[in-house]
Amino acid sequence: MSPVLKTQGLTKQYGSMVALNNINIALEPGRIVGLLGPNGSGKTTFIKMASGLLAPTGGQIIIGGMEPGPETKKFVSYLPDRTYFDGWMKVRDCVKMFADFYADFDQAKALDMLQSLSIDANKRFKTLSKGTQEKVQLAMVMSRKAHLYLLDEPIGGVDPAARDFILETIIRNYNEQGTVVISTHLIYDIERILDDVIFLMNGYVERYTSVDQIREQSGKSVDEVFREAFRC
Amino acid sequence: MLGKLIKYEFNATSRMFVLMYAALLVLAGVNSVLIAIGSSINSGSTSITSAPDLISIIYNTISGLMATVYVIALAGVAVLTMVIIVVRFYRMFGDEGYLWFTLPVTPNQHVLGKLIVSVVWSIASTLVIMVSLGLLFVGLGWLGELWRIPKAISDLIAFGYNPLLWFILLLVLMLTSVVASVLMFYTAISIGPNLTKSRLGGSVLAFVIIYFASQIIATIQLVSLIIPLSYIDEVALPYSIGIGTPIELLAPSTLDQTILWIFGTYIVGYIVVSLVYYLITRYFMTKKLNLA
Repeated sequence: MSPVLKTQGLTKQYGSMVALNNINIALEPGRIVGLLGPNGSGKTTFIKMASGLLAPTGGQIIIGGMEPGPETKKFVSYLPDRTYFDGWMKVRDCVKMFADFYADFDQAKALDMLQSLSIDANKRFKTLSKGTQEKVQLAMVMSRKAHLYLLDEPIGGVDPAARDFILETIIRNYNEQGTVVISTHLIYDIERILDDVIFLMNGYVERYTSVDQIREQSGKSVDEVFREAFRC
Repeated sequence: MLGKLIKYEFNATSRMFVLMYAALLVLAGVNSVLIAIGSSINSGSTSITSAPDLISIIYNTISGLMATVYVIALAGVAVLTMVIIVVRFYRMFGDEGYLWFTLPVTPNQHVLGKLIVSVVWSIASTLVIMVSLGLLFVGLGWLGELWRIPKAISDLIAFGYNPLLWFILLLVLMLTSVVASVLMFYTAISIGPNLTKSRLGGSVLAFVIIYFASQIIATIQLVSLIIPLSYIDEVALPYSIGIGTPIELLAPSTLDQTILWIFGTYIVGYIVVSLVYYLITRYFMTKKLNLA
């Protein structure tokens, strides 16, 4: 099968600082990929370029045969590491907005998910706690039947009990033919749902391999291997 | 998609504008009533020779206060209209940009959607300001005077002038100048994040640079406007060398021609400048997008 996302020599510089350096990877369909690395390793930069929020300095990124743009955004579902809904909007308005703009959005599924998260759809977004706002956004993003999900720190802001629920949500709701990229440094929590891992170190791909392979070769968990690789 | 963007932009901004308009119209109504009361008090008190009574002191205090508040509100509507337009676009390049720029929408649609809504609100604010002034006219008892306008227009037409042309030109001029100034802000905001580390600082710096550039262009335009005018025989030349008279200058054929020339030059200028701003904004929103 052709890869969902492919990069060739992808590079991003901010002034003289190199955030990503010559990244060459191909993500296969139907995989849950952990994009792992310490703070400042380039995880968010990578995801922002894949969602079309940043233009690369060099190389290219191809999603479904195209460079990121209005066409790829139709099948890429992106969860940023910040809250983006206008505060005056009711949760219900957020659902309507996604239904309006994304053809692959399942409104019933979203409302259902909000209900299981005990979120009142009539509340205004700004009145919700930070963690609840993140849950709303995750529910929106996961209610799309996308080809590629890009989740930037989906569990960073919520309590450990909610983390399990969110991971369940991700596994249960993603489109089986789709690929999920999850960036995080909370590896221990998400390790069990990952198929593949990409270790990013100072803008380089330190390794890109399957979780099974890591376990077979080292006999250790991804978390342990990560800690060894990134020891200070 | 453009229609949906416009719908959401209206949803997000309408509450603020409606509230603002309601406040201004209520204030205009209050002032109108106060003026009407005032004229009856004054006409009643002409015969009284003693010092101002309590009622007129209270009246003067309240009406003075309300007039001040109204003037502030009038300026407030004009300023806030521009502020809301600018802030809406500025916020697109902050956290909200993570939503807007991941929608399957082209940069053209983004800019056009925001621009159309901004222009509609600018027109609405202008109309509301005019209506509020109209309410004051009612209080002043000047409403009857408005009926002189159709008479004046028909007189102008009888003399061979073309007031309809002036009016259309004026409307087009106002519209193009609003579009150009909104796009000037958009350009500065889209360039901003690329200029300095601070997005706000960069936007302000970009605005100052663009503003000065536009002033230089406007000066060149003004000069280029005057030079050809002096070559229109019937207009400036005879007058400037002292053989013409103001009456000749204001003759219907030459006046219409002059107005068409002046307004036309400015309208074309605004359209050209708007196109340049639009292309720069679109370029920075696609090739240089750099959300903080």
